[in-house]
Amino acid sequence: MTVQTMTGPSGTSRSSPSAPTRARPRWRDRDKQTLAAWLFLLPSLIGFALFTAGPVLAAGVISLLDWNLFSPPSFAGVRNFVRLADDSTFWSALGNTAYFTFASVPLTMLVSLALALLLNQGLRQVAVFRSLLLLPYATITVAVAFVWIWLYIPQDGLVNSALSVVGIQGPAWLISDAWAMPALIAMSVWKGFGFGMVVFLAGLQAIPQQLYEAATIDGTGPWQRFRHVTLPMLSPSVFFVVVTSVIASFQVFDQALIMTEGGPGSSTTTLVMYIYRTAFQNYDQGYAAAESLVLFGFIVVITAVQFRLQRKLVHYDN
Amino acid sequence: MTTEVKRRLIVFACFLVTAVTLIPIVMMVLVAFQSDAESMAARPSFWPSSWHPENLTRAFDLVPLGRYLLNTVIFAAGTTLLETVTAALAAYAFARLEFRGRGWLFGIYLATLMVPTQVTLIPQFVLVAKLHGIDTWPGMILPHAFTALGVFLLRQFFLGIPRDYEEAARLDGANRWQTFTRVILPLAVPAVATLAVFKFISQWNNLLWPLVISNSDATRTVAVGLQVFQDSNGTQWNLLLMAATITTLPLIVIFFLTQRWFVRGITMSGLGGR
Amino acid sequence: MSHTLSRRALLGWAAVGGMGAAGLLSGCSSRPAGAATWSIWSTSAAEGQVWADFSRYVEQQLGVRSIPTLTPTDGYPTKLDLQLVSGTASLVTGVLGWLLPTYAARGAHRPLDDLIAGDPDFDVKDFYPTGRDICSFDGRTYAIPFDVAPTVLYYNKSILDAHGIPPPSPTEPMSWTRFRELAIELSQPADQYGFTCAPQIDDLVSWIYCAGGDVLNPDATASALDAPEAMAALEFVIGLFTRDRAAPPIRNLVTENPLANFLQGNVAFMQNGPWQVVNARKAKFDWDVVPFPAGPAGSTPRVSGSGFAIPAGTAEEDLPLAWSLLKTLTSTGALNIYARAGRNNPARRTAGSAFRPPPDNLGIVARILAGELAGGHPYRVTTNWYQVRLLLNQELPRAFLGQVSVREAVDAVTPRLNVLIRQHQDNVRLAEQRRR
Repeated sequence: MTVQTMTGPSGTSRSSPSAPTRARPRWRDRDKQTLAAWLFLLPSLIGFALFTAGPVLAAGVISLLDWNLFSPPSFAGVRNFVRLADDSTFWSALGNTAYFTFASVPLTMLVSLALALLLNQGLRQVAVFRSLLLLPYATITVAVAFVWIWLYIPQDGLVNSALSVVGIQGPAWLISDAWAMPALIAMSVWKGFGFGMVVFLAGLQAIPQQLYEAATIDGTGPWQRFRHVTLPMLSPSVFFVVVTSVIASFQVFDQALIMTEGGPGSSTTTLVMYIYRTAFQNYDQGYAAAESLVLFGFIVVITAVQFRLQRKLVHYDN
Repeated sequence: MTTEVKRRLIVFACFLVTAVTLIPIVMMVLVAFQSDAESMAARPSFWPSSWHPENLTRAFDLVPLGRYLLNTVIFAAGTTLLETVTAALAAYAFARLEFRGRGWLFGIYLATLMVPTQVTLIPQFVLVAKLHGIDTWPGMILPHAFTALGVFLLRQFFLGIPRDYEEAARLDGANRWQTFTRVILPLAVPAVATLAVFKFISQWNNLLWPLVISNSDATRTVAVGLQVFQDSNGTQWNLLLMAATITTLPLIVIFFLTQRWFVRGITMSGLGGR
Repeated sequence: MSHTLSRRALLGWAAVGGMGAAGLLSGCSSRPAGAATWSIWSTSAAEGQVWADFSRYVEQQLGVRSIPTLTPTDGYPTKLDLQLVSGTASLVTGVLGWLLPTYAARGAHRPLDDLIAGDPDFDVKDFYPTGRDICSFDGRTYAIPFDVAPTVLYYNKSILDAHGIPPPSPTEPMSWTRFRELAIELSQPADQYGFTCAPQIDDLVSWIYCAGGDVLNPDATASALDAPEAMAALEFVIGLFTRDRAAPPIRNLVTENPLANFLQGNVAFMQNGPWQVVNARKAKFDWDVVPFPAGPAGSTPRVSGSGFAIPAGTAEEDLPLAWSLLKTLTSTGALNIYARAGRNNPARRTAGSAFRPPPDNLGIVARILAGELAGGHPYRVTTNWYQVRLLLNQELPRAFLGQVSVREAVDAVTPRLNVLIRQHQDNVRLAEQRRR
């Protein structure tokens, strides 16, 4: 049995009240929707405008100022943005962050998807594994970051010990210029896969069984079913996870700060770490705000690209 | 391959994957039981040479962990509840209702996700200070209860719900509110539960905001409390990790007990489902 | 239909709003009038206890309620910044010595000279000169010190005894040559090391001072790291790591902890502040402290301290209470409490010494501060020391790891350091302009 698309009776007509005798204007369906929409939006919108959008706007205004937090600010115009062009630390931080994002997001997605598929078998025993696998995501960063520092110790950390068992001499990881970022990426994939895993699990649950049954009846194999049923039906979730993961990865901060403080040199200095230092250590608020706006710009462009691709790749049942 | 063998294989695979993935967590728990000297040693050892279960009570002694746990529950639950409710309502508007400026408004919501919290920290703090909210529950909860993540997640999910359900309800004479509460929301339980879990976990572990907003133990959370084990003279790893273990376990237990909300499938008549 | 919709939605929102408003009003925590509010960093329960004792003392002395705000050390500066910018800072705030110029130059705190001058009872001379130096910027006093201490050398008695080496003189600093000899000799057995320190500027600077050098030149207009004195010091210390292999291998630049190395029991000498004495007492071996090894300019290691300051925005009518509170927090009575806790040295001569036996030689800390033996050099920092410290700690460890030579590391650092020092001078000029 395939999904029946129900169509409403064609040409729904409403009897319009006789216009001249009523003082009230007619509510068109569009207006009703608008009113309904604003009422639904209101609770979120008020809090959002005050506590989320307001501060973001304030940051935008600050980017036009020269302000050290404690003395009165002075107007700087676009000077902060012009400074950015020559700031090699900013661009190297951007490079580091892009490297981090484009490596960790695909890896994390793959792990999340694979695990979600594995755990979606509907078996009762699997329930406990689902909870356990959320532990990396749920444990506070400061605790796991320190355990990973130990894992990465060059001489006798677990990672290099395990590698030496198969005959590979592991690099110096967190104290090596070239390997500090890969070390951070690996740790971040481990810490972050739980998010996608739970979202994909919810998405997989929402796929009607009928679609799989129909496909099986048509004689398709498991891989075909995955490609033609699972992936398209899961695509809104995939889209959501990709967009939010990219946005979050561009803002990576905690684990980099704890594990390497941006070193060795500045090989793991990420954009948000640089912004935080500019704001709270260099006390250059305007410059920090300008940096965040440029970061924002990059993320907007990348997200816009993803939204464009969404039209082609994401399947919504409309 | 018989279903029984397949089943066993899957369980085995799950077990293997979980075991490997959780090695760092296991280490964390092991170090939590070590003696002070062993855990602070320059060369770490993982298997404790002597077990110290008293670290459990010691962690509670050094810091009012019980009070902090309660505060953390209030903070995490408060922000989660507020965000989930307001986001569900707003997401429905974005997903299903036509109004002018919808695209723009959603874009603004999304845009706020792309500005790091370190940058909005100062304006948010000054705002809360002006509203006399420093060291109060509303001051702590409200600024973090209206992020765009919830609206985005639920909007995506709502977009994926086939319109047929709403059409059917409309034909049965339901108004928008009834459609929302009786048709959309029950279908959206896995997504709403997902949002609730993420929000709860992220606010449970939120360090910076509770640190700057709360001035006393009456509102301090566990994340701030963990700092106690990291004083300027060095970090007491065993107690820090013991406290981290104690405070993460409730999250996992909650998630485990609420599993069924994540795995509920579609059960509307006419579409079957599992 | 619209009616039911709007009513329900409005009801829901009104409930939320009402709760929020009620909560905001009831939870109002603006500063209660007449209370003595102060903020300081405090992480462990033991530190918290010290400040609780201070609080009781303040209430006894001033007869008003004392409300301290304790914040974990790592988050303290950020929280202080937010409080200062939002006008919700306490009457008196603790300030780390190395951050004092950073805050002072930007107008965060109020100069105290007028209050000191107008108060004949306040005995400024009772404070150690190095402490007062640390709490001043550009000729003005911005804080009253409450603790101050020089870096010292800890040594593992058991290791020295096992090698038949007599303990170093308790009052005469040993020479660098002698120190190096010992460090190398005590690293001969496998898995034994002669010396440990952090591969960071905070520890390096003590050696630079003892060699007669500094990070900045005398008028703080350029870097002095490439001067012969500083280079000699850097070559010496880094040489102990790379050439002499007298120090334990570095495992992680962030968590490298000399105290942890020392407590392992296989390191003979540790460079550290006396504030680690409380933790060093957990050692399973005999240990003691001696003055820092003397270089060409003598034994003049870094002296660091902290003070209490008054925020710049403090209202005129609150100043008398703020000043009384400040005096009380740094009075002999209060600092005696600090001394009894044994965590760090009080900044006043008349307050007792924090460092009492065990072990036997701890008394030298107070004597060094009093100028009776060895010496010290106040930590000389810029108004952008966060950035200077970050630069130096990013580049200099490469030399410790043997990736580059000391010369190469310093050459890599010097241009950027000069830029930062020029920015420091700009900050100083701006601060002076603001005052007029």
